[in-house]
Amino acid sequence: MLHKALRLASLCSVLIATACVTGCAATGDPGDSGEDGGEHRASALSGSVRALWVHGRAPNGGGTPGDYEDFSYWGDAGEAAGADKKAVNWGGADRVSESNGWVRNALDCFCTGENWCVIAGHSAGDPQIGYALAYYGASERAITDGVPDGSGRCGAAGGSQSGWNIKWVEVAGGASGGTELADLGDWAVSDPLTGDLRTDTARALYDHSATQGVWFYRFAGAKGTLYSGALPGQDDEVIAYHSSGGMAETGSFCNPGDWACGDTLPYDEAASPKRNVAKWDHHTVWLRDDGEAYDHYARGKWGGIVSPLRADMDKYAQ
Amino acid sequence: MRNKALIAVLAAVLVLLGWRISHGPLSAPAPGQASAQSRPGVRGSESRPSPARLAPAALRAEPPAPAPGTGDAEARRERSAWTLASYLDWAQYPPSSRPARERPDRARPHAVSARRLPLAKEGGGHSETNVVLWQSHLYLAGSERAVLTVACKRGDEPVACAVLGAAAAPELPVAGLGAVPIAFADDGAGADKVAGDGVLTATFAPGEQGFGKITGPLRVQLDVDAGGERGTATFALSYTAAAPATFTGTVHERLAGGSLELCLDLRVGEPGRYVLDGRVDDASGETFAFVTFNEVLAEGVQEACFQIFGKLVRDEGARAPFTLRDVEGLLLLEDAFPDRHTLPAWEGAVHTTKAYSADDFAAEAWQSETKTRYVTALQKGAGSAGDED
Repeated sequence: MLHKALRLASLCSVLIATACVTGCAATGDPGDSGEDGGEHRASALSGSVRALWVHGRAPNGGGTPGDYEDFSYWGDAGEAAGADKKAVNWGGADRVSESNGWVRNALDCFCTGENWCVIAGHSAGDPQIGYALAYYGASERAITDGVPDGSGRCGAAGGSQSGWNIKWVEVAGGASGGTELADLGDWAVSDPLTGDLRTDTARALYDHSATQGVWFYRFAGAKGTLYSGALPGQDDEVIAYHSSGGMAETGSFCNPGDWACGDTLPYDEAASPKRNVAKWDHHTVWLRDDGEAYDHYARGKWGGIVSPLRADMDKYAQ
Repeated sequence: MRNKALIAVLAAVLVLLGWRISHGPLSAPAPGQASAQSRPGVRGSESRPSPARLAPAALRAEPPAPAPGTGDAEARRERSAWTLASYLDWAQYPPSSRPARERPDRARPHAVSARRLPLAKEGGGHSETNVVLWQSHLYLAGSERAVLTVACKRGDEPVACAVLGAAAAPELPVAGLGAVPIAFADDGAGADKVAGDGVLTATFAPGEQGFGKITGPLRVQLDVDAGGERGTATFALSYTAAAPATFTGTVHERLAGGSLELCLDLRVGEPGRYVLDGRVDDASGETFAFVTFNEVLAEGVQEACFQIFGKLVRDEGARAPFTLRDVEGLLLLEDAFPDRHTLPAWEGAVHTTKAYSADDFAAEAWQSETKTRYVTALQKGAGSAGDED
């Protein structure tokens, strides 16, 4: 116990020391406007935090890549979905590695220098974000002017930084753990991306715990019936809880009280209660669909499991 | 401004401390940590703050109303404080030198999650009978070989399982290269652990079985008879014929800035961004660290250095000598598919260090430009999240 008490004290001292260091470092920050709350808000919020929306699989196209105002995958572009929202369109059909450059371009544009981001993802948007963070999240990035050209790239503003400025990530129906529908070849339309969404491939593609300390808030829908024979446990008709809930292994995970199910998907970052399956690091279940109200499909109306995601982004990504 | 920033961080500290206290003594870990502790040979520790701990219950049952209100400002402030607190907690160590418990699926190299799938019926649709597929590797290179197993289940009960035929082929057709038969057996020989246990096993060495010039995805397709039902299942693999770099076998060890560096010499044939990872065991054999390397290397003999961070050694109570084991690596190919050229893994013990005392390691937390940038910005968020109301 003494050892642990010492560790607690150590943690406190580190945090306080860090507070002093960074508090001092904050002096002279361009956003520092003294005690004027209004000016401070303008600096901290207006234009410096953006909500980026990374869509999922779209065999017929998911919006124009490089056009950050094209929300056609999601729904009405006038819908409130976070501060100064931008659509990160990457095609929706190519392999993650082949199309991830669109995502990195967006991160370079809107999440460097004085600009910070909160990122939302749906379905295959989840591995797109995770892949970028795991492989490039600590790489040297050019600081940009935040003004995209026609191809979705932004001009250099001078200087560089390590990684991007991301406050957190929120994903709905996240496919980073893959879907059995891809393993079984159940989709009528096959595309290169389908190969990445197999459960074996999706989980081996990158280190899902390498988020650079950025939290992934996960929204897991359960209104699935059509593929209940293929998808283990609870699902949203495309993605089973093992993936949408960020579990580090595949398997059957359900809402509480389903005794016929192998295990329960726990809230937070907790491991499952029966099989003791852990989640990936920095992944937390924020919404578990106990009422079986949300399926997978956005339907171009911010629908399905995207609906509570949008509401959450509107609430928090400001 | 300085005072506001300081107050924000101190508030985050108090939130974090409050969480620690409200969730009981540190000897009562959260379920996630119980999982880590229960994994053989992986060191556990107290839990880290989770941002969802303070989630309003109403949000979980019912999504919030779209229009922001006064309550939203408080919620934003709360999340910002948690983001700051949890970042400070995480950023005690650099991203490249982490506690092993953070990598539940990477304790062993090549880890591929076992899959349980319905048997895909020959005429379409799914059977209620399942196949359980496991593979030792998904990515492999050179002379490496993958062990593949298949078993059949109906509910929780095993059913008789037979592989009627299996063949490997490139995922995308290659002129002049057809499917190569793969033999599954349940005879207790070779990689098959137990004869007659219903788990059929095959060993697949792409380099020796016709794919020695292929770099890219392969598929092994099985025709299976599961309890009298026929259907198919597939394994995915990705093979690199010619390794982009090779380990020379030399490892340099040095203390630098209160941390221990283990630098592996690589003979680099293809320059580019190399991503390597490894596991570190302490003197008792417990795995306490997961270390990574992600940097651009030029052609020729180059060092790829892992850092065993000083504070991590101290906090984990790890005793030297340490053993670096099971190092995997790849050359990352940007905007391409396949996205990597895989290095043959250096499996087993790679290097055992000298003996060190705890005093050889620094107790200070990680500091970097990235951390300063994050903490400064998050302080601002924690201090201003509700100002507009």
